[in-house]
Amino acid sequence: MSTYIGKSIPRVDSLPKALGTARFFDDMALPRMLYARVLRSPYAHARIVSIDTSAAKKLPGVRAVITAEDTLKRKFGLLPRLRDQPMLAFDKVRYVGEEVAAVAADTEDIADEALGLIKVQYEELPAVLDPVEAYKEGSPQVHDHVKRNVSFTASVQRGDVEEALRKCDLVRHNTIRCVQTAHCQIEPYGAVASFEEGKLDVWSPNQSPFTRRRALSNLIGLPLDKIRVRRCYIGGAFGGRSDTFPAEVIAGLLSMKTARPVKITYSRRESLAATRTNHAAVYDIKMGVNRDGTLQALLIKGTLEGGAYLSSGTNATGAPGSAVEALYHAENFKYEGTRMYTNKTPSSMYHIQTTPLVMTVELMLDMFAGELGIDPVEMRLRNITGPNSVTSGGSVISSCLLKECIEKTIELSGWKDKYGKLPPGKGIGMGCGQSASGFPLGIRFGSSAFVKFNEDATATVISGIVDNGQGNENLMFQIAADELGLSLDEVALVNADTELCPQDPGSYSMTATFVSGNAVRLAAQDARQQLLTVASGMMEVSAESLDLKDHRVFLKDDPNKAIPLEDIVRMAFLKGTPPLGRGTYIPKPLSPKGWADIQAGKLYGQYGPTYTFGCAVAEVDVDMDTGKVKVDKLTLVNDVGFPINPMVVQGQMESYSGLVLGHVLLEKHEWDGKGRMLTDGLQSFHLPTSLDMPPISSNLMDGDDPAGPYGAKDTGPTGGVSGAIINAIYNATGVVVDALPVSPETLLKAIKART
Amino acid sequence: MKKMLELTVNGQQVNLEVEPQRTLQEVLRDELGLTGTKRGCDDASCGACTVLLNGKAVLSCNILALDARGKDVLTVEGLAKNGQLHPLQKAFIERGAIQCGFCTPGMLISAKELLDKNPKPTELEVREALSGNLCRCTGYAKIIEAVEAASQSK
Repeated sequence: MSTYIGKSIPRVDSLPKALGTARFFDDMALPRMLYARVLRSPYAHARIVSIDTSAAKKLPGVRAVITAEDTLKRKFGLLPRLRDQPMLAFDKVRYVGEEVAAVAADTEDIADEALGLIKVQYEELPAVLDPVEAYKEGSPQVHDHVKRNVSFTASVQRGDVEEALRKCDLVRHNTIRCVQTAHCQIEPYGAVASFEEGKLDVWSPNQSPFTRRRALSNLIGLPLDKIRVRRCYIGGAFGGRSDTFPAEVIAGLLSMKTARPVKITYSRRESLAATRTNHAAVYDIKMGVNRDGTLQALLIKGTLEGGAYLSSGTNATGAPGSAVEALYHAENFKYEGTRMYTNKTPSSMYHIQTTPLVMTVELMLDMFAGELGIDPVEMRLRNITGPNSVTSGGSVISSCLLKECIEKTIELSGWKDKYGKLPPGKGIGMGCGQSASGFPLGIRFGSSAFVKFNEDATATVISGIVDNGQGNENLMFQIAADELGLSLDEVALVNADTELCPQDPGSYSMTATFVSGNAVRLAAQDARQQLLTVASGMMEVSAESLDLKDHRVFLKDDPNKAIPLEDIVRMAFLKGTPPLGRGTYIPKPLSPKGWADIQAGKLYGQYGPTYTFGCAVAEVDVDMDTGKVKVDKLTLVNDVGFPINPMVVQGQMESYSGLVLGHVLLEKHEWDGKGRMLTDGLQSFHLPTSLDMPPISSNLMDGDDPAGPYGAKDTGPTGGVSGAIINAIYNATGVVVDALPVSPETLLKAIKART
Repeated sequence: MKKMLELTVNGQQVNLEVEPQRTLQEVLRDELGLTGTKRGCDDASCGACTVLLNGKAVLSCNILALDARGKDVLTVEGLAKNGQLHPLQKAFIERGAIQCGFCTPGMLISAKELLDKNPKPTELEVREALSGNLCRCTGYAKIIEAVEAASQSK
């Protein structure tokens, strides 16, 4: 029996957060610290003719001014051949808000004043602000070397989908389009950097300290051991803080130049307009089924608008296809994703990026179900993937309780009493979802961890794990305490620090539980084994006959024969064998190239080592006079294997629900004809409030994954909430949504067009 | 020209000189080191900087520090008394209402104002009271639960 694994215990980090003592980067103040501000491009596309910083440099209180001339003029990108983003623009600017120069001064006010003294001469170039225009022959090129602005392509294919579509009994053709939205972490972006004794320390809210360090090393020109990316509390990420931004490079360079610590804090406006957005996208979907409701063919073309730079757009281009192929089985499947450059804010991966596509596949299933007279529940049960199935991209799905999730969601939501029996304007809908857990991405390493015992029998866990806010740190406490027979307060965690911790992939694309959790488990088990070995010498029995729990080692057959853990630890030190555990975990790449042939843009092979599944039912109330949608209730059931902390997992399911509701009903970036973002504040970019969110019933299956730590899988954007909401709207109004967000105006127009 | 500012912060008398254009948020964070009060938007739209001013929840980014002269300010750091967590803090921790924690200080303060005025609010009253505090991590579900639990424990 576990003490902590599987228990809904409060998170260790929630106490400092409730007290207000948890330090985020912007809460830091170092002695002699300077404040930096960035001068940004007012143009979507322009040549930089000259920059004159002389007046700014003379302003009292200004300590340094930098432009691209002070950098190595290297560009950032996930892979060497895909590097396209300068940290301070040179030659050209490619979007409104791009970094052109930066100032470090004694105060933010002085730095701001200095920005106004920098004279930049631009030669404005025609900008391309639409992905369809971008592809046209003769359109302006965002990057000189990229013809027709095709940023990246990715495809997944199985069978002959065109041929299969011709043979299907019924075929549907739907499109869905969505504008840019935002991750919109409540914490604005920024960084603190301090260069001292030849080493650069950096604090910034980021999802992968080791990836960040590698990028900084390349961009600044310091070796890896001279850069230390350090832990701080992080105010949310959602996929929008996985790649490197200019803030940390600029702060680093300014600190190197001034030999003083430098803090740069982005305004809300900068965080929205000059970090990352979610991709705008259009999906064209052809789905073919037979009369028995079985899915025969699925052909999807996705065009994603990526903005000025690639960012994590490689994954974003392929992810929508992967999101569908591991959810529903189609013998004939083709996904082609194309990412286009435009002169807008760069777009990155987003936790719920695949929402519009998955949602529309769900809507089409409901439309077929209606046409064929099949119950929507049955429609799904006939088509979902299951345990031991193989996806179109060649991934083997191991553990899968999707069928059970659907059945339980239907039961808990009272579906059978409601579906088809609701008054006008009320609707109920269902949707499913999945996400890959622990997938190596082809670019990241595994995770390693150490466990060391202190003389008083407390233990310190050293892991690269980073917590963006979702509770990853607590996971490590629970695992280590359980394995080592300690209470939670006898475990300390050193983490997310590239100098002190061994390699970790970072917390993006659902990997913390599966990969980092497994590494900490192995390290703790190694230390535990060492303790049992020492104890076996003290008790003159074999180590195999012993167990460790609740601060004591005891004979499995006679638990009264025991030695306190403290005595064993002391003996281990005396004998010169202090307990030092180590563990490494890396998911096996099951195909030679991992999951993708990036060169050819083809996705094939094992994508995730395992998958997480979920089902949701939404109940909505549509005001037929105004078109306003109110979601009344969400019922969710997820299969995350064995949940290590059910309360934390529920929190993530609810987090995901909030993101989805915002994306589907509220959030929308708008731009003017010059490529300027009009929605760069929280008064114009609308996040869901507590009044928009419904009560959420979040439930978990009692699963068991063969490879996950204790049978656990990562929680992800899994729950099917988008499909549930859109189908509930369809159920209430008969409107087939073809664009996001579903605003009252567009829905009302569609309702009126039907009557 | 700096001006004298006297106010009470978390029960303690504070005297300092501040520039007239400084907001209460800046003075709390930068001068007094009370960084629990967060900076999330600068235009009174996120709620992360909410503090109590003479018992009323205000956005400290939207108030000049000098306007707090002679008044009583309560920040998140002042919620716990003599090492005892406030019932709201306790409920937020136990119910899993804290994820990244960036909105938490403002949420706690807005919730305190509500419970001080209305010790047994309905779910809708809780949702209304917190509707100016944005959270991106929780879908508000466990926050609402926690405030309701704290109201029942009182």
